[in-house]
Amino acid sequence: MEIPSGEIRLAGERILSEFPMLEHFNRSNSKAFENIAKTVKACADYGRRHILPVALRLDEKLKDEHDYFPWELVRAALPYRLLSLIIPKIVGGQGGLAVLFSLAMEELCAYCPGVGNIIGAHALGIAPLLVCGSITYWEKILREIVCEEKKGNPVLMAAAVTEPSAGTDVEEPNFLKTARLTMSAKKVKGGYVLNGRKCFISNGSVAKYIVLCSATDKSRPLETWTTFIIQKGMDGFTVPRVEIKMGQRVCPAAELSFEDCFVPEENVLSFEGTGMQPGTLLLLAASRAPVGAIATGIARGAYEWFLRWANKSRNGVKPASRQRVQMALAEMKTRIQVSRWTYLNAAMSFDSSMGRAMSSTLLRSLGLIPDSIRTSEIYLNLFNSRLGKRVSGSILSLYAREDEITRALAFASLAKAVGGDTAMHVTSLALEQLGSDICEERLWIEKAFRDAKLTQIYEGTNQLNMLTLFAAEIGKNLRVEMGKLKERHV
Amino acid sequence: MGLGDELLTEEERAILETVSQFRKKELENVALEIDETPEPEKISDLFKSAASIGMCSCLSCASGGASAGLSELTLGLREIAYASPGFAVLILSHNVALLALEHTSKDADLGAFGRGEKRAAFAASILKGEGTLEAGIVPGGWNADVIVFHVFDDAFVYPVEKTDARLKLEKIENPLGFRASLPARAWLSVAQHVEGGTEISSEFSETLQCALLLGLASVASGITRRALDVSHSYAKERYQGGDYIIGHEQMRIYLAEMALGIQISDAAIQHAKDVWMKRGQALSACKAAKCAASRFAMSSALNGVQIHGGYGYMRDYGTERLMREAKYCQSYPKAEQEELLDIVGIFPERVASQRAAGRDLCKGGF
Ligand SMILES: Cc1cc2nc3c(=O)[nH]c(=O)nc-3n(C[C@H](O)[C@H](O)[C@H](O)COP(=O)(O)OP(=O)(O)OC[C@H]3O[C@@H](n4cnc5c(N)ncnc54)[C@H](O)[C@@H]3O)c2cc1C
Repeated sequence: MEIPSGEIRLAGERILSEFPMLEHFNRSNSKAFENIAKTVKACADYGRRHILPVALRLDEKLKDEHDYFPWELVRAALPYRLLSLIIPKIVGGQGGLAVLFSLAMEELCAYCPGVGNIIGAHALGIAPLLVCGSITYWEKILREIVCEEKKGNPVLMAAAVTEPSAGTDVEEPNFLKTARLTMSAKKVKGGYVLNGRKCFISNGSVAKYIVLCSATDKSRPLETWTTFIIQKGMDGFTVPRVEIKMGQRVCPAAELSFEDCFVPEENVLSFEGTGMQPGTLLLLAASRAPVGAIATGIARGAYEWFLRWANKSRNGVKPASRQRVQMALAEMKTRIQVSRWTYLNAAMSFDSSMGRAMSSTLLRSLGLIPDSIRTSEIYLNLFNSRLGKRVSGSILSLYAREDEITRALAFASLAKAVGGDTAMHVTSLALEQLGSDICEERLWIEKAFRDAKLTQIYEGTNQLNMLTLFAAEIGKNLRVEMGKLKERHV
Repeated sequence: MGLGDELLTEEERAILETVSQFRKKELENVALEIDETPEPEKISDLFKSAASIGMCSCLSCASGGASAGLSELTLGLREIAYASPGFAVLILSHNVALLALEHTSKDADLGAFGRGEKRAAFAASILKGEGTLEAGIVPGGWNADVIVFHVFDDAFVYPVEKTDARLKLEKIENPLGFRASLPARAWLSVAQHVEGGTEISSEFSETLQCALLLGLASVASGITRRALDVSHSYAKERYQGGDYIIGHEQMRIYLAEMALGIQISDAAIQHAKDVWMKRGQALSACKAAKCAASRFAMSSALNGVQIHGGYGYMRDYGTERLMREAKYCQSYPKAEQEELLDIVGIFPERVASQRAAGRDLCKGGF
């Protein structure tokens, strides 16, 4: 069958006018809104021009060549500045926060969630540098990403939390206490020695920098959970395998192996022991709304293809003239709207707490310092020193209040679970309606069905997200402990 | 013997045991492979082995195969689907097509079909355009020797040799499910409505439909059983959240829902079989069984993947396959909602008509 090429128009640009909450946002902050609108349009353009013509072919190719990576497609994203969406403006990025990034994710994933996830996993690697206020690495890594992006060279990031024996356990503080970890980071002179494996790491095989969490003492994982920056090519670090997955194939999920891999002290983000509280929880508060958006995008893509099918005549009858199809379309639309509402709500909640810190006068004023100073050794060492880390940690915890960020985590978990269920339901319903009709729309909807399932699994399974929602919002026994960013004594 | 099999008769147990041996010895070790890269030769070999235990002539009286009929179809397919739902659907398609062939070509020697030397495929046509019959998904259609077209509720079946110039086949590349069935999309041009067709009674049309739906319900039940077994074993081994995950209530609820699914599917299948044998008219019951069983297969497969976490999403674990197969079970031969609408449509008739009990399936004329 001929693979359809880019003639379909997804509803990308419409979502801005379709969604009253964003109109309100527009009135209160028209500059931010303009930036968002520009980004969504850029994603729609990238999707139509670059993703749509190749997405199905790539998916098929990756079925057999699962370690192939579409660098060309990533390069094509660079003029749209998709690798610097959430990088702060002071180092040349777009300065987007969760709302902007979530809408961008929805847009990209309506075309191909695998491609969206490359950008998403990259941002997942960037986020810990932001939420832990690691000014030094803003200058060192984020600046590099922006500079290379402008030159046409993609520098990708990844975040490695999951271990073969611990997935749910490493995304929740109470579970981490009893986790059976395989990976360890042993303190040695001048740094740490990493041993063990991480698994399912999106972009793991293609990222230049990987933000990785590990316990420095496996008998006290929660207290010693620490975030490190790993660079491709470090001695003892290898990528033994790339998984063969059901969907989102374009984005590789890799196993990472560490054998006596030395990581210098300065590669520790924030302080030893802040990896879970607040590190991973902050990361999840930032990333779960965008994952809800990924899922919403998948649902929207499937809906658009299904709508196209429904409006095509089959033996003189349009399926859309049947009530069952009309009801299905209405149900899909409803779920997509609800899902979008929950992720935007969560993203706004995150932006109004952590966003306040990121756009604080104090942090922005760093941008006034000349580049020559900000890239100098003294400046970088100062911010990576104990004092520097304490200062940036204090600034963050001053602006991002614990109760607000805890609530943002709860909403984000809700949005992720709602989104995942929406994606699964909508794609499933669309296939049910198609029956045995073999048509080009079916290829996209089947792909969306395979892609959708992952959104119920990664970023914590939906069950974990529900438990987090309960603990943070209902049971009130989980808080994001911002104060720990100021210092941690292991 | 598994959950829900307590009430099986001796004969049914024997069927299950025979097919189970075939599954374990010949199918399990290649199930992943024939889903991933379905080689026609490999599938043909498996088909012949299945024929040797009577699975390719379940509904047949004349072809010399085992004729325990419905039980063989339902239990056998369930057992085969436990390893490979796609292959089970290939067998089903062949059996339904063979039933139609026997009914319509009374004098022909169809023994080769029962022995697995020749293959037939059933094209449940959803569309009847201008002079063309079209079937979106024909399990077994690619590489079948004969394809039998039939528009349900229509008075004709159209058996065509694969060399027939009126037939157009297109291989379905990389479908979501039923891959091991080597499915094809098929068109048959029928210049005049009845050209090449053989007239059948509406009762026989219903019989064909019942056989297909009951078979699909059984395949779905096999999927649910597999989902439960692999998820149960995994949940006992995977330690997370301070316990083996089977210790977490949410996981146990998922497993229990699968067990519930097995029992309800089996009950619905058994009910449909009973109605068929006793009253002759079982379409509503077969549709209900197919809808119920495939829904449970779908939810069980989805929860099965979920219980496996990230591993469930990976090909090597085999659970993602169940999810893809279950989706095809649900939407083949036509949209589930259409089946539901049919159930409503035929419901009053079913209540009203009291047909003679125990008609002979082989004659197909209820
Ligand atoms: C394609 C892909 C990409 C990924 N990308 C990344 C990445 O970039 N970086 C990264 O770090 N990780 C990544 N992951 C890992 C992902 O976040 C984990 O798979 C996820 O957190 C679930 O962990 P697990 O797979 O170990 O499942 P498990 O934790 O083993 O869960 C198995 C089942 O048990 C349930 N369960 C566990 N604990 C409990 C409990 N206490 N109560 C009730 N139920 C429970 C779960 O809900 C699930 O249903 C990726 C995974 C996949 C599949």
